[in-house]
Amino acid sequence: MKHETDKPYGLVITDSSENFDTWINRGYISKELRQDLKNSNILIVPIEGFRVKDILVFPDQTEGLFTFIRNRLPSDFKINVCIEERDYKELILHADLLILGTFVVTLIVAPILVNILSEYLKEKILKTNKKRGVKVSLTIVDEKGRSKNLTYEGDAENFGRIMNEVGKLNEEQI
Amino acid sequence: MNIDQVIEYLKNIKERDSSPKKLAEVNEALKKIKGKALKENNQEEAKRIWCFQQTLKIQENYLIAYRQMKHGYFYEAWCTLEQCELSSGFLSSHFSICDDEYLLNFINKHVEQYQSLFPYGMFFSPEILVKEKKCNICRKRVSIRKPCGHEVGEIYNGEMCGRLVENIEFLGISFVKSPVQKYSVLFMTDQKTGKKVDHYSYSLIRYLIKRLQSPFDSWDVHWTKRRHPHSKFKYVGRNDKCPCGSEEKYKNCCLMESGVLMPHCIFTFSVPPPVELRNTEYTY
Repeated sequence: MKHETDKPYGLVITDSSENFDTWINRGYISKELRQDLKNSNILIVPIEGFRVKDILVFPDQTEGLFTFIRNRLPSDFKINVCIEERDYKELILHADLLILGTFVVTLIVAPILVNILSEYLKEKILKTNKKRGVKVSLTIVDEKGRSKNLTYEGDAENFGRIMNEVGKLNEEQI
Repeated sequence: MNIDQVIEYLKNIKERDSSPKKLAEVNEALKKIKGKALKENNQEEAKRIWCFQQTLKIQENYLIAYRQMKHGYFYEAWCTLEQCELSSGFLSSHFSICDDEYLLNFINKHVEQYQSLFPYGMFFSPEILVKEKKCNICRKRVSIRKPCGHEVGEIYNGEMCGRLVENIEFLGISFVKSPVQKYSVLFMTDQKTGKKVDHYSYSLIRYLIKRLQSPFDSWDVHWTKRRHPHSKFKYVGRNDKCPCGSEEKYKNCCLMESGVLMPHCIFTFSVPPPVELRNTEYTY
């Protein structure tokens, strides 16, 4: 995984075979947690196998980001983290690229999530007037379980521009 | 000292007494005022005092960095400038500095400009796995689904909320161009003595700092390119790579032009440098 970026705006959209079931049915998720995760509209999923086989990690500050999103999400939508409490670990990479993580999100909630992430970046980066790169990956899943993956890597100030692409997915369906 | 006297001290950065004794007095005063605010459960006032403590830290670190550069301690200055940058980042969402009465905008601008002149290009970036952490405010272990309620970066009881990492695993190290921790500069080691060797050229900073008469003299830097005479590049063969960095052969690149195209740095000073140092050019 790269620690930094030199792209001002980089968005890659690809077809994806992943959806909520792909993650919920991972072997490291217990039966009890699986039930909880099934009711989620957004899942923050781990990076699997970083440097070490079978390791599960989340980017630095996921804990704060999770609370930030949960506090701003309309009450009829739910977010969860695809990990058992005891297995939760964060990976700190000391480069100036802010990795927000990988999210699996329903088509309906995707624009709300992008808005909240933009707000988060505004709070954490743009207020400090520092130019900083950001990386985030969204797997957007429609009602039939079909999905597309959007990976953004570029300046934090340009992140909001991916809303157009998310809007197009909503209009065209996946 | 009461709070009004402390504020006056902070505003008077250009002429104040910055002796260790005076600084200790100001820090002690801020500590006492914050303690009193906390006794009265006045969170707003405690937060305001935290902002003044950060302001003092930024101002003093800026002055220290300037002195370090004046005396040729460049890596040390680089680290002190980083401290300024970090403290400014912490402060920025809590404290309005629009009218710049504490000179924080001036300092932020010049810290960034000084940093842009340092020759460091590559840094270490450690990869650390954090297994357990606690909140520094309530000392509770941080749980992903049951947060303690304290938000990182916010001010509680006159302190900024952060995380105390208790259990880590070191996974690896990478080389990066823009690190979070700027102090992790790559240095050579003397094979005989095992000591650090600072092999970098600080000519730009030397040039600049020599011409500044006060840390509060404003200056600007503008980067452009201009051609330098071929006589300065006699050591470069026709078939060598062009010194301009184009990766082309010298004979196919700048040798066909009037000179070699090199980065050119122009400084402008709000206070003219000493007469003997004006209108001088320096090739680095």
